[in-house]
Amino acid sequence: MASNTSGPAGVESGPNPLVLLAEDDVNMRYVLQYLLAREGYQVEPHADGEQIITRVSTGPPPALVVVDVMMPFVGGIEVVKSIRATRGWESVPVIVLSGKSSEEDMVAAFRAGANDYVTKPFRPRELIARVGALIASSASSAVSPDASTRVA
Amino acid sequence: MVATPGIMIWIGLCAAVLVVLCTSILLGTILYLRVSNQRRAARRELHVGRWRPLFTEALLEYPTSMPELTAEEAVEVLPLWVYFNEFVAGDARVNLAQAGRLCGIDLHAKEALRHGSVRQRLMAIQAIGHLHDRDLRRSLRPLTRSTNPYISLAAAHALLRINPREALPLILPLIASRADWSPARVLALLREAGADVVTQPLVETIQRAEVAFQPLLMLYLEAAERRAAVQVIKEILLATDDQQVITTGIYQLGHLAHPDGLYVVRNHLDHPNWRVQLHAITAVGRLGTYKDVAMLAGKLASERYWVRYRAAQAIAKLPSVSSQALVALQGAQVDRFARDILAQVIDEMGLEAIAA
Repeated sequence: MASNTSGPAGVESGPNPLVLLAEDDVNMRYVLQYLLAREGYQVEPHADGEQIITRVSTGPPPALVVVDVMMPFVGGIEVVKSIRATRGWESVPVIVLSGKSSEEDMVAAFRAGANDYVTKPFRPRELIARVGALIASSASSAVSPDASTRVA
Repeated sequence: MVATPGIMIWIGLCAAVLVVLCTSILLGTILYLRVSNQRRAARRELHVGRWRPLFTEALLEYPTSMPELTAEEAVEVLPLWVYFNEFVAGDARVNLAQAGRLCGIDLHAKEALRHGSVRQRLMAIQAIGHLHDRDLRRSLRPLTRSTNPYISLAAAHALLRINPREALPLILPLIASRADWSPARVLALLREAGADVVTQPLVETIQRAEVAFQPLLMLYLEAAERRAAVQVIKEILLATDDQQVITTGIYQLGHLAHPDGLYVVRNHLDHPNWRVQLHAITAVGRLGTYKDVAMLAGKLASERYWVRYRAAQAIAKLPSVSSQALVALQGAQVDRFARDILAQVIDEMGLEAIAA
């Protein structure tokens, strides 16, 4: 279930693609929601890892997931593992956001199945570009013969 | 003396009135606090609700106009603006600074610096740092000597943000002497200033520093260019016999993990101080090669548990030492303690592998 969603006003949410967002900090969540919605993505915000794990087990997969590492109840790395272990979600691109920039933390995120790792403080335009590139790449691999065979 | 019934009734009545009065005052105070808290929260919501979208829009577009920030709004909005600055980088920060100047954050920060509470002054200092305001930096200089460590460190951080080259000569001597500054925070702000700016003045400060301050300063070499950091540690180790300086130097060489430090840490494996040996062993484990196995194996029979344990761990961490080689090494040990400690480390590795 999407939480608190007093999101940014005045920005039209496009019909597609859908981006799931898990970020516990209300200001950060507002900013990310604004940035993604401004690019035309439909954004579904969640305030903690537990909410997004419930969403993973009950709803259809989105085009991409943006998840913060440090969240209450369930951390971002656990969320990524849960996504990768859920049928139909294995190939959903995941961007991990984190305030930690050590090699160890990055490796842990990629080992869990993250496709990208963005450290805070982040550059908003760069994040938007990464989201776009991952969604485009995921969409093109989904229509390639190999991918369709694999999906089938 | 026996009290008459009339007096007893009066005493009872007075006590009852007193209890009712105290309860009323308590309830009134609770009510007042709740209402004022709710009002404050509502005011905050209102102000944040107005300014958050404006700052968010400014992240992507360089702002050309902003509404004026009122004094009442500034109490809530200054922290919000500072917080926005903490989680974005690049052009977004430049845009936010412009948004701050246009709405008058600088004026409110100046006011808070003069008349605000400690919390408001801290926010104001951070705001001035994010604004890169060269005119306001003069007001920050005396604050670096404040007895309040939060104020002084925040002022140092803000000055570094405004102009790191100019601020470092002022701040580095303070870093050495302010034992109340959090080392983790100091390291973070030196890293933020950048190795290219920090290396030279930090190295010179360490070279000139009294022996008592050198260990702490050497820890901040993590923010410097590694080759220069290793070089200055090597120079200091050659010139000192202070155990604390040697221990920190060897620890730091292992931590920096630059190959230039390997020769020095190898030379300290047989140091008479076992704590120095301990750090040298750990450092060799990080920097060493397969050739170091023999030297480290010599430590497996040490009378000190931690020396044996770190030696076994260091051998296990060396490149090209496989688990089979480790088992073979354990089998070849004649000393019981050496065999046991290797068995322990092999077990731990096995457990780690299973956990992974």
